[in-house]
Amino acid sequence: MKDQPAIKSYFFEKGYKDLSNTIKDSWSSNIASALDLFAKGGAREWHAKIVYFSAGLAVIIFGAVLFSVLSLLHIVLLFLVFLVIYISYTLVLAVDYLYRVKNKITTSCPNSGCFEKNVVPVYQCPNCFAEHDELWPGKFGILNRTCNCGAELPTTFLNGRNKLYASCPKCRKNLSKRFNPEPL
Amino acid sequence: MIRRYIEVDDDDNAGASLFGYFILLMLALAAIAFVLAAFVFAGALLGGWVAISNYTKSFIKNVKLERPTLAP
Ligand SMILES: [Zn+2]
Ligand SMILES: [Zn+2]
Repeated sequence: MKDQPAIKSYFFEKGYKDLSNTIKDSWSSNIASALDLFAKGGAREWHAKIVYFSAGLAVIIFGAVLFSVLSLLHIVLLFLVFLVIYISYTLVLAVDYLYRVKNKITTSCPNSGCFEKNVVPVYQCPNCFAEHDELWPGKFGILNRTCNCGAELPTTFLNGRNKLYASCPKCRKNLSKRFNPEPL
Repeated sequence: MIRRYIEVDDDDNAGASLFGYFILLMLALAAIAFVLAAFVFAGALLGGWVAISNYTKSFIKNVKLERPTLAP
């Protein structure tokens, strides 16, 4: 998928960043907690030193065990949730495609000198007029996507994508009759 | 006769004290093992608690269920 003037969906990029940041941060916090205990013990008498040193060691060893368990649990849960999202994304894509095929909804460029057939038009954001040339379910959103300007755009025929201003990806001329008062 | 009696007596004492030492040794080992286990258990509680609280803090800090905002 090409780059779009839109913000990526949580489930296709930021979700994984959040996961890896959580894992990294929690591990470095564990190390920091252990170092803190070592440092506290450093200035004490020998028996307090033993207690603090063992506590720091315990934080490293048992902390690593718990850290692994929690990270694994987090990864598994995240993948399960994201799997549901990906399945629904595939279903939306399939339903939208089947609906358009069944009802023979196609777009052909009406402009003379082009007549490009069966194109997915370039859609314009109604708010900032940015051009979205791949406005379908994907990593920028499943049913909707957020344009860089903040406007929400529908990504399927079923929830009103065809109401947006559309132009031909080849000749860049207007495709929708609504915006084209001249006879074709 | 006396020598023999003393010899037998010595043998009996040796057997009894050997058993006594064995029991003492076992008790001492059990005590050490118990203290060690308690020590390890305390360590596990501490390490586990620190790891869970660190992970929770990190989760709250990092996981924000929203689309990323654009850099200004
Ligand atoms: Zn926009
Ligand atoms: Zn055209």
